Order: sequence, then C-alpha cells, then structure tokens
Amino acid sequence: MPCEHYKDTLIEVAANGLDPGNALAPNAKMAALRAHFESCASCRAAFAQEQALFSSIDSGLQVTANADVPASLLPRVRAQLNHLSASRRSWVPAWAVLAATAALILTVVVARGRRQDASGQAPQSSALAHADLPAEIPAVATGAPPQTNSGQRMNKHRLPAKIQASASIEHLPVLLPAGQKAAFDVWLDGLRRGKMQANDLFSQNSDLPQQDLQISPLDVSPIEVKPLADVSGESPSHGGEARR
Amino acid sequence: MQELVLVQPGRTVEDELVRETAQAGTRREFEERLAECGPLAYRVARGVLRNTADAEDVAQEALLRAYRRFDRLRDRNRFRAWLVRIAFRLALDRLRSGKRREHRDTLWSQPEHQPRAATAEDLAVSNEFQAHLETALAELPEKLRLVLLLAAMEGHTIDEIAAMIGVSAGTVKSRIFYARKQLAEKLRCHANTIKTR
Repeated sequence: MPCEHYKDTLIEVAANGLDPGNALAPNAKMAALRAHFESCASCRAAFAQEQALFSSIDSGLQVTANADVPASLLPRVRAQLNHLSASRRSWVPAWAVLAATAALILTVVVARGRRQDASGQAPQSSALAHADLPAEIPAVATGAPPQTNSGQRMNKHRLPAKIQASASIEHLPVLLPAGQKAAFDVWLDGLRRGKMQANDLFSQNSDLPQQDLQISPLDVSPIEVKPLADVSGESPSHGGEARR
Repeated sequence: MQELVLVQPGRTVEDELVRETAQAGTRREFEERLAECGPLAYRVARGVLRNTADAEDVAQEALLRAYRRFDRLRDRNRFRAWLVRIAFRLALDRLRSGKRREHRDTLWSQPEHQPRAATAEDLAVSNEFQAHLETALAELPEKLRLVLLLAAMEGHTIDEIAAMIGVSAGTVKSRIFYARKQLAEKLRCHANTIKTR
C-alpha cells in the first residue's frame, strides 16, 4: 500500500504523542500502520519530522503561555486595591466635619425651640410648634428620655404623642441632610449605650447660654386716633401725611 | 438646595465596624491569592492579546474585578478557574474592541517585541518560528486556544483545565488534540522552510 495512505494516521499518532513502532494496535488500521511503519524508511522519516514539529509547537507554546510577568503588575494591582479601600473609607475622617454640621443644625433648632418656649406661654404658640416640626425630630426618636428639664419640655411640646408612644420608634426612617448619616449614627450609638443623652450633642457644642432665653415684652406706644382731614384736591403724594 | 437622605436608625456604628472588618478580611484573603494567581491572569491575557502592555492592563482589570466580586464567590477554591474566565473574557473583549490594535501590531512587528527563544538548538526556539506560532495560535478558535494555553501554562493537568472551564476531561483532551493538529497544519510549511535553510 502506498505511503500516502498512512499519512493522516501518522499525523494523528504524532499529534497524540504516540510512537507507531511501540504503540499498541487496538484495531486493524493501527496494526497495518505498524506493519508498514516498520518496513518503510520514508514513513519513519516523515513521522520523525512530524514529531519534531509537534515538539517545536509544544516548546513554543510553553514560551508563549509562560511568558515572564512584568514586575509592575502586582504593585499596580495592590496600589489600585489600596485606592479602592481608601475610597470606601473616605467618609470616616470626615466625621468631625459632619458632626460639627449636625451640631450646628441642632443648635439652631434648639435655640428656636427655646425661644418659642420662652415667649410662647400662650396655648396658640404651642400649637404652632406642633405644626412646624423640623427634620431633626428623630434626634429624640431613640426612646431614651432626656434628663434635663429643658429637654423634657422640648420633647413634650414638640413630639406628637403618637410618636412618643410608638414601641418601634427606633426603626422609624429619618430624613437627614446628605452625608450626615455617620455623625447621626455615632450620636445614636451613644444614646443606646447610655453614654449620651438626647440633647448632649447640641448642648456640648452650643455657644448659646443654657438658661431659657428672656425676651422683654414689646413696648408699643398708644395709638392716637384723629379724624381724617379733607383730602379732596390733594395730590397722592400728600396722602401719607394726611393719614398720619 | 440641601439634599436629604433617608436613613434607618436601626443601623449603627457597629454595623459599619462589622462591614469594615469583613472588608479587611476579604482583602487579606484576596491578597493571599493575588501573588499566586496574578501571573496566571496575565498569561491568559497575553496568550489572547499577544501584547505585553495590553495583557498587563487586562490582567490588572481582571484582578480588580475579581476583588470587587470576591464576596460573591461561594467556593473560594475555584478562584483560579474564576479568574481565568474573567481574564480570558476581558482579553477577548479587548481584542475585539480593536482599541490600540494598530499600535499593538506595530509594536509586535518590532524586533524587541518578538518572543524570546526557548532553547538555542530546537527549531521551535527560533524567533521566526515562534512568531509564526503566535500568529497561528491567534487564528485558532477561542475554545481551542484557551485550552491549549492552559495546558501549556504552569503545568495544569487535564482535570484542572476541565474544572477551570467547566467541561469534561474528555472534551479538554479532544480540544487539545484538534488545536495541536490545526497548529501543525498551519506551521508545517514554516517548519520545513526553516529546517531546510
């Protein structure tokens, strides 16, 4: 049989890394190849060439697949990982700023509340305060009762009874200025641990006096009522004088 | 205008601490795998892209992506396989996008970017044959190319490759066989030419 007949089989044997001279002969085709191979020097030479080719391919693949890794790769990745971690933690150092901002807002709110308490002894003042609840109300929504008189008064006047009595008040959603969640969490955690009181945050940071604001009553002069003068024929610019 | 956000007071600083501790643990665990598997990501990418700079970029991207999604990997023992798939997919995307392809081809044609020789005697070590091999490798179907590269890479066994790409060991053997055969067909004339010089 001509050598060309065995060409494909020889290539397959070489591709599988086998040796037709030593390989087992599982079928008639392989047995015939083995017989031919042992008697044909040309096919042995061609097979050796195929083996060399596959050996070269394997060597070349080893070079390609195991290329040297640039020394800069891992340091670059680690630097990126550090950058990622830092960006995730970047809000932590800003706590002081956030806490100061929250304290400022709370101070303003409390000052407003005290002013209303001081001046609004009348029932309608209290009613107005109920209608004007600020966003910081959840500051007292922790269930921890404030210890100071002013704090008690503030809660009593400014929290609806429904919210004060709520058993699940700790889980009420709170509306806060963006970026101040961390400061709020710190404060809330202190309340839960009993290390802080509801109004500690603003009372420690407030520059305002702690006593209730005293506002002197308005001094209104008595009104003098006079009959209107005859304004017919006068220019509009004189009207003001006439009314006065 | 001041932007307001809705938060849940039930979440405390402790939650943040727990989250940070978990992140630190994830980072530590990932770092342990980085030194071992970083080169693998690079080599997979380089096998696809045939360019050092692009492969480094892709390997870095693959490793960062793996880090971001590390928590989602339930079986950490499958990290290598997972990373190989990420790197291979990203490398293919890069190759298809055509970005910097012209630049890459220019670089590749320069002598200093030719693959280095393995040994001095062997035919395969000649730079010319190696360049032909790289070209022929790039022309292989993706599935065959990945299997062939993994088989030549870091001494992976058939079973390891099968686990990495999620196919049977028989499929891996078959793909390796056909890949080598196709490479031989493409390179036979070059090998003969080089040999007869």
